Amino acid sequence: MSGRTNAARLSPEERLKSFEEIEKTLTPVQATIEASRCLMCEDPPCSKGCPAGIDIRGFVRKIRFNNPWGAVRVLREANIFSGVCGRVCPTDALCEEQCRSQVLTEPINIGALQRFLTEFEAERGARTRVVAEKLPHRVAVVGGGAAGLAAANELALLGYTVTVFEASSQLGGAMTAAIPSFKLPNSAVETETDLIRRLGVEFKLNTALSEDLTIDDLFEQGYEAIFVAIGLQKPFTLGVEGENLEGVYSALDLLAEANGLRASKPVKVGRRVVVVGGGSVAVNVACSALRMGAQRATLVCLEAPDEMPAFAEDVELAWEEGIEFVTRIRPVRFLQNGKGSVAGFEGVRIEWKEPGRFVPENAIDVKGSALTLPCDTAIVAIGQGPDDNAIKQFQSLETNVRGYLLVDEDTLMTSRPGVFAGGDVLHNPISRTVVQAVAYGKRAAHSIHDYLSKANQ
Amino acid sequence: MYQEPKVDLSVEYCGIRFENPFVLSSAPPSDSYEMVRRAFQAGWAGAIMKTTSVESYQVDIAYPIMTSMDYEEKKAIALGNIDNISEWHMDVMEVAVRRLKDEFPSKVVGLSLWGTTNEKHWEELTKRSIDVGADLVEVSMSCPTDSPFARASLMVGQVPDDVKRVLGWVKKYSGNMPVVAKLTSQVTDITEIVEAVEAAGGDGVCASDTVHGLLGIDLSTFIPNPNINGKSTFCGVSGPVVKPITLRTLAMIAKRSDIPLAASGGATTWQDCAEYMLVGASTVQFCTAVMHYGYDIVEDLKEGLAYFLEDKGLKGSTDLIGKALPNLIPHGDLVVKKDVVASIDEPACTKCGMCYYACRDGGHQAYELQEDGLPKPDPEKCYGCALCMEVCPAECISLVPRP
Repeated sequence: MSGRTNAARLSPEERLKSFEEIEKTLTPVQATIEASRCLMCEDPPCSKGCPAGIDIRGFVRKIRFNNPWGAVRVLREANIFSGVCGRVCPTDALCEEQCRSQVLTEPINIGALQRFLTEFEAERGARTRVVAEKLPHRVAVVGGGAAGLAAANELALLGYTVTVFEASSQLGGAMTAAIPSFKLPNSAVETETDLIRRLGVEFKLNTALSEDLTIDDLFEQGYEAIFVAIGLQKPFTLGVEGENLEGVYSALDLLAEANGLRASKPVKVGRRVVVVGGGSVAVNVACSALRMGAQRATLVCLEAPDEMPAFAEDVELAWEEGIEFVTRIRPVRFLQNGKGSVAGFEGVRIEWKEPGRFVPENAIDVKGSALTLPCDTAIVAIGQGPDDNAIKQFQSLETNVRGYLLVDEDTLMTSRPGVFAGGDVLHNPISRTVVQAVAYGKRAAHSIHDYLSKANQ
Repeated sequence: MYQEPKVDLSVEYCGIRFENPFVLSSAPPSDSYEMVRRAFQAGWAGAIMKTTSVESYQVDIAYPIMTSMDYEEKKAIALGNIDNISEWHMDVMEVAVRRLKDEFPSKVVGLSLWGTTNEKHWEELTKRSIDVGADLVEVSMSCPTDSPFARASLMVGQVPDDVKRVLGWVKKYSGNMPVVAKLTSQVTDITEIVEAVEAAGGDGVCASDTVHGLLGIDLSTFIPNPNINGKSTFCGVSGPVVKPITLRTLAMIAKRSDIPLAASGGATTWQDCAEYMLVGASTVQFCTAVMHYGYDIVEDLKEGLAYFLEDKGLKGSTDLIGKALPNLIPHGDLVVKKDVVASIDEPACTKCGMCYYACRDGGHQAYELQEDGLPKPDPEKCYGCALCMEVCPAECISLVPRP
């Protein structure tokens, strides 16, 4: 049995010239070869590993037996963001993890096959999706990211009239704002949001919840249920000296700039960049900086390489592109050049008090191990939390102390009847991936459907 | 969720409506009520139950019965069996047919019969088939492997007189129930056999049964496959490798006769089915693909064919039947000319040179390898034979008008 088929990729040298997507689409011949490696297991482990519940064996078999439109149907029924997820899903930790083909050779390249199909669909023009009989009920979705849009899609298919309120000027949430286009071009997100638009979903951009548009207002306007999926907008800060210097930015600012969106402050990338953080966003930010003019980018994080929460695939890309990793480092301060701009990063080496717990509270400094890295740009990429302004708008909803919304675990309903929430804004999401957000959106839609069906009996 | 293609997959064969052209052939996947029930639930339009016989007939089967041929990494491009007719006799099949017709009135259930040289057996089987409500019967003419008639080495389906005789017996008692002859492709002239079917009043033909062959020999023991206590025998070959034989057999019959045609042998995908229909088949029977991949493949057969018909702007499956036949003419009628030559899409070429040595040792020595390894066909020397195009792994060679 032959090994895994991978799509063509830009070389590291070519990549750094632009934000062009690194990975290309499988050719039809490659897709057929890859699909025919699938063992089509009875009781397939791949589908169980998919948070969106895609019938993976089903769609791969459909490629193998030359039924690509049927395969597209299987994908779209389960995950409207199949093209996005085909690109950004951590497949090695999800569908491919238990793939039985690896007993013989390597797991099936499920993500690439999924993407191949969505591009097949886009090239030929998506087929019309049939919406259930129109229901006389309106639902508001607050937040136009993956969770909100997936819910809107599902609700529209169920027959509801859906309006999506998006605070920014662009749909997609983290998909467009936090994932650089060398991994996920905006066009791929637009292709799939267009599929939702075609169901008649209304999008209101630049419309955040505010004092002028509260949850109460939405109910008054006639929305009978509300799904809150506003994600996390407030970047965490390190709380170290020098964090407010000129030239120190948040990951979201840099990625917004990279994606041509409005950043909260304009980003200027210097020649020497230090990125603080050990997640995939931090790694992507470092790679982005190299495409925005940096000569050298160094990633500094608390974790050792094998402890970093970043997906292995992202770390590998960064290695190929020449990102330097300085690991097991606790940030101490940002140094300044005397003119109010950042000139360096100072950190100290750490060890873990108890093994296996990679959090700041568990770190102890190694004496005499301080190090400085000169830089003219520093990016803090250590995650995001709930937005203060948004929290204010949700005063009527129960949150935990840090502002994350609390929901019923089964129904995703908040403390207020008719208001549901899902995605990253929850206090304890299962994981912060696009596919998990899609899963939340779908669950919320069906909960809302149950709720409104009962309420309108 | 998606609008289904607005096409009609249904077909008519021997005056019977099938909701789609996909039918289980008389074979292991249709050996019981329970199996066919699951097949019908999966979407198959009909099933011919595995060949059955009168209760007094003893069915001997020597296990193991299956063997296969792999090609490089592809498993089982041919399946070989030394199976026999069903070990279930007519009494069991009667129950199966009755229950299936009762639970699935829109599906087609046929019986496949075997009655040796004994007219009484054929009479009894035919009458009981009518009584139980079978939609049609197939007369098995190439399985079991040895014919009890003229010569032991011949099958019924290889001797026109035997075909006429057996079919005649069945037709005598069949009333309005259609009688189909299941033929073998391994004859000198299939049209001679079909004439015998027509002479006996046969209502339809199913072409064709497994191809008799020998799938392989174990090089460590010199025992052919499958190994039954150190001995073996010839087997019935099925699977993708027999598709070209089935296509030709169907086309040969359809060119000479209007008798309703069911295809059997070698189909795996909806494309295979479309091709069989284009040379005259109304329905397409499956066995090996189901044995390899399960009943569920019918979902992709139906959906794939429906999308194809829609893309082609055709209204339904029926529009395919026989449409390739006018394009099939005797070799002698082809226009003799050499007006195309090979051309390479150079950026797509891997420079492997497979075209080069295929042409050098199997063609007309038209290729030269350039200094950078890029093969270049010389239009002066190229006959346009297409060998290079067929072996090119990058599929970057095409035939273009001769300059």
